[in-house]
Amino acid sequence: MRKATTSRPGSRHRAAMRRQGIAFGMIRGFSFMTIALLGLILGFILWKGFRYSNIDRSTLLPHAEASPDGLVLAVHGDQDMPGIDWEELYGMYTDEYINWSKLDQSDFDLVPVAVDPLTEDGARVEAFLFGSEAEGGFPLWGGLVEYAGSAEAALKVVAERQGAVTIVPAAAAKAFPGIKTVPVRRLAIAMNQDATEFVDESYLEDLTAQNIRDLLGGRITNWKKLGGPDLSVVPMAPPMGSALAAEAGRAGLTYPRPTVPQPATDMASYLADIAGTSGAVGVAYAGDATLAGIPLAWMTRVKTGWNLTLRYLLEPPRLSGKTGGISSIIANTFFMLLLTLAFAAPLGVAAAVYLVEYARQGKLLKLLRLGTETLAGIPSIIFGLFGFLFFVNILHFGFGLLSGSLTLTLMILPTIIRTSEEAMKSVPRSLREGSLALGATKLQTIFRVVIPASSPGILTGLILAIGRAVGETAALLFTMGSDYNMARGLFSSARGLSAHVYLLFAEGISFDKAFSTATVLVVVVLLFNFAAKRVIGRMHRQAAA
Amino acid sequence: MKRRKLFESAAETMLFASAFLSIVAVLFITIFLFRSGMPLFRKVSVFEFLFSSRWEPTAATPGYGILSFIVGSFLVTGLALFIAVPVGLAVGIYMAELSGRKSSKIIRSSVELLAGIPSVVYGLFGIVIISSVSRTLFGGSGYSVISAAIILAIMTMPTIINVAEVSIRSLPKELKEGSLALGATHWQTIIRVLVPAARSGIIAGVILGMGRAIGETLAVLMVGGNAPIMPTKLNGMVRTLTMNIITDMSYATGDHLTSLFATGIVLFLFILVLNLTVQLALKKSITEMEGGAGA
Repeated sequence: MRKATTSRPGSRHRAAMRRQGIAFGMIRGFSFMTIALLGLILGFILWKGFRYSNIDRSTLLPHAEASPDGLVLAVHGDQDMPGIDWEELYGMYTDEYINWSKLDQSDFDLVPVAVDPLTEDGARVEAFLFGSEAEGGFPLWGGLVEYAGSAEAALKVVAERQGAVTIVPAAAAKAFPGIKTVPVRRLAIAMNQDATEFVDESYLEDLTAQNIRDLLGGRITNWKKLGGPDLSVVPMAPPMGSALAAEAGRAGLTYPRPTVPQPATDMASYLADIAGTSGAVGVAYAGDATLAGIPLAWMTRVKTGWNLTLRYLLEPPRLSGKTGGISSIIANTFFMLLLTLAFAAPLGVAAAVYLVEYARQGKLLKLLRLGTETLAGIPSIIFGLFGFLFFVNILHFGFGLLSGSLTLTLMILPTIIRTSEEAMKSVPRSLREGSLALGATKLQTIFRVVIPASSPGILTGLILAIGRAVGETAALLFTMGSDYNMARGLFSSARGLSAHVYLLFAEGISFDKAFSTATVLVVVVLLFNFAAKRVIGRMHRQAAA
Repeated sequence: MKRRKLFESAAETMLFASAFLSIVAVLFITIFLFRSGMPLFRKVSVFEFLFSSRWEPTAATPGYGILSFIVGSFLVTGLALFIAVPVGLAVGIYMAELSGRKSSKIIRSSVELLAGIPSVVYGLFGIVIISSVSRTLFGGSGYSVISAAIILAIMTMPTIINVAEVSIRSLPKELKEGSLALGATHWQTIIRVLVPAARSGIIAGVILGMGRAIGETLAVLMVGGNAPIMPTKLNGMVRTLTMNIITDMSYATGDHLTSLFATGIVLFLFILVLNLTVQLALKKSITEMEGGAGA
């Protein structure tokens, strides 16, 4: 019986069904890919926005010393600084920094305080900071440095004044009220000049923590392995019993014993050995090695942390948004949306009323429709050009909130008109007729009956339009300006969230911050979408009831 | 009574003015764009502007040829549609014909959200993910025609999906039932009957998507590379008309600025032609078709 049914039409049918199976499978695959794509994009933005993960490039080992050479770095008790690099510390006392914004992102002026170098404590600090330069007679103290008579006097200044910093003997700072001490990173990997030669356009790679352990431990025997020249690695151990050796031990750096050649007995000859032995490598203080003209190895480490914090939302931006938060930018966005809505909502609803309630079928209605549709299709960069020409230049509004909002108004008008039209069309005729029969005028009917009845639909349209406006960038760059401070008035240049995202990236200010701001932007857009959905849902429930 | 009548007619005039504002806006945009861009053609011939690829506005003897940007715009857009149309059509078919209530709801929400994501966010996503994927797959720097096209494909897909779904769904039931009754499988019905019948709606959607894609600025700016050269390779850098405007806008003056408005005119005309095609030609055929089906 079964054989009889496998006639030719049956097999053709089966082939068709097989093709259908394949086609439907592919279609289903594409469809679920859409969901996956959305998840990927949102997930990626949110993840990058909340967490940053930077590859940090430095010549210093991550190990920080609490009291280098028996000295401590003291700052005001409220200063937020977990550790400082040697270059930063040196820079503080040589006029490299004038405030803290690049150091710990706070806004205070930097006041470097030093104990008078003519006192015993002061001389120790000078030797620590300037090394052999101090002996040579040219310690390059910066012009900003203020001098105090004693360690206690210096600490008193620091305790009283946020932004001040000083270096004093550890014993003096112990239990001194109102200050805290900051550990210093100054261990570096010094190499002989020969290891840093270019070979066929290839250069020594940045070292990882593992590379350093292998280099000093004798497990990497040739610089070629790290992209350097064909040269044997000669690990050097610091002088036995020196502070450097002890610190290197605390940093987890170990040497094979005995090292070849024999370890030097004092720091000066140790550094001279590294400078003079081809392929040599060893741990050193960054300041000493730099003074001796010995190159330092670049190291990379991955730094991770929280990017989008409450602080980021509540603080104003500083240094073009490199540090600080986005509070003023959120405020500007809010003002911009409010202003846009104030223009666009009445105009859009009024236009929809005319199209639905007054316009008769015919040429005029067609023309009006054509105008709205054409306006809807114009890309935002053209709106930007127009806004720049008309609002900014001809009407002399300048770059500011008003020009930006008016440009946005034109952009979102078609969306509001279309959705309001749909909403008003769905109001049943009987409602209008009932109102008119009760003696209301047409205008009264529209404002008391039609618009209230269609308000959920109109509201949805407004929310969706605003959701589009908040993400707009191209039209705003040349109409609203890019001042990241809070707008002071209608004509004040202002930067919104989306422009901030773009400028953070385009001006190379901070990729991480661009992602955090983008996350805020995406959350706002999602909230608008969600709100629109809620309104539609309520509308349907009301209609059903 | 008379005062009330006066009031009513005044209100009607105000409402009409609001409705007329869109047309005024379109006219103003046209007038100001042309007024600011046309003076360029006193110095550079239209032919040279459109068909030369020498863009050196700040050179001693400046060159204002935007051919490479026109080619760039169409190359990127064409490639984006090449990716987005099949995928968008497939998803549209799925939502109109195959999906259950629940899965169609989830996909619809996803498509809406994809349409709502700001273009600058797509740009950030593109810089990190798309450019590195295209660097490994296609070589080059990753900032290329293909990266820009992929980003644009994702951004135009929602438009195409929506229009495809709506135009398939709005077809009369008899078409599908007739085909099934003749013994065609569901797939044969979709591909031989429904899609051809919804053709003009789908084409309208594709053209709308094309308009969106040509006018898109920030996302392509961030992944396209923005080198002002003729795009010769798919993995090479590209600059589109929109990128050309936004890149130089911040510092251009004099003829250079005028040339940017002239670039805007070219872009505006392309968009206008696409939109009017949809509005005047395709909408008409849709209404005719619906009218025919109703009769």
